[in-house]
Amino acid sequence: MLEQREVTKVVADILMSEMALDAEHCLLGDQQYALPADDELFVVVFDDGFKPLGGTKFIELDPASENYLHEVQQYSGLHDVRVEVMSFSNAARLRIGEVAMALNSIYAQQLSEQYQIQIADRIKTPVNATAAEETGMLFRYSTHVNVTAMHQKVKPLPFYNYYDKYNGALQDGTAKSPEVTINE
Amino acid sequence: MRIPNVRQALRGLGRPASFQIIKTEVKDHEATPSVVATTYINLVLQPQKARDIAVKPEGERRWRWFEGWSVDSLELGWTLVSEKGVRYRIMSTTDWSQGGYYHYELTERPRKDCA
Repeated sequence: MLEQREVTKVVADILMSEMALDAEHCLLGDQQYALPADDELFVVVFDDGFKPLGGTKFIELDPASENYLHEVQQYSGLHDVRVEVMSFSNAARLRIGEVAMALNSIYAQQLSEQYQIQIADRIKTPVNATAAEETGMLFRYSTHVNVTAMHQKVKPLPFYNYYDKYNGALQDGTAKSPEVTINE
Repeated sequence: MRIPNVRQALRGLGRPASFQIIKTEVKDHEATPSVVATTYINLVLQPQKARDIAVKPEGERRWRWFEGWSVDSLELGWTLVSEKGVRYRIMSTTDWSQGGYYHYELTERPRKDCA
């Protein structure tokens, strides 16, 4: 069974661990959350969408019961993950390079294998988006990283025995008995 | 610089009302609202002045803005839920505690599921 976790959260896990951040300083973007009041570095990870690469489906025996079949639906996508590194001190300017190192770390490799994702070995060129915020300059660097991930959904097989029970009904409503009957 | 203390005057202006305080915490990288307390707060509210709303960023001007004065210290980002269920989010705080009060900007939140 595929162990799944949101791609942005895996990236946030890696950055939090490798850059020694606490929970208040490493979170997902697009949420109503006030900026931390201190001058420490904080990292915000955004999901900027994904490019679907392909999908498949297959039927397998339910490993728990070994009696029932279930349908496994999978697709893979190339996710565009945006990482923004910010601080009211110069920490963001000094530590933006750590993002590239963190996403290439051994811990990143471990999580990639655990959740079956592939993090690109290079981040995109960081853009300086520093601007005035509140009453000071907020150092802010924005970069992107591509992550390939497999997503999976498992559900009970919906039309199991459907064809066994097919009565030959046509689209115009006329019923036609199956031509072959098996006498047991 | 000395600021005249108006704490007692402000206490007489309003009447404490019961509010639920909802605070947002980060859990698993997500901002998660949770009720932390129900308490009485002496908060004097009035609709924000049109000239203050006019200088706010586009898109925020049509929100229901209020400004409030209180002797109680409240934190930025908290959501206060009145007894009638109206939710106010604290959008800014100004510390005038030397004068005996705090000034707040709040927005009324129409959605129940947002903190």
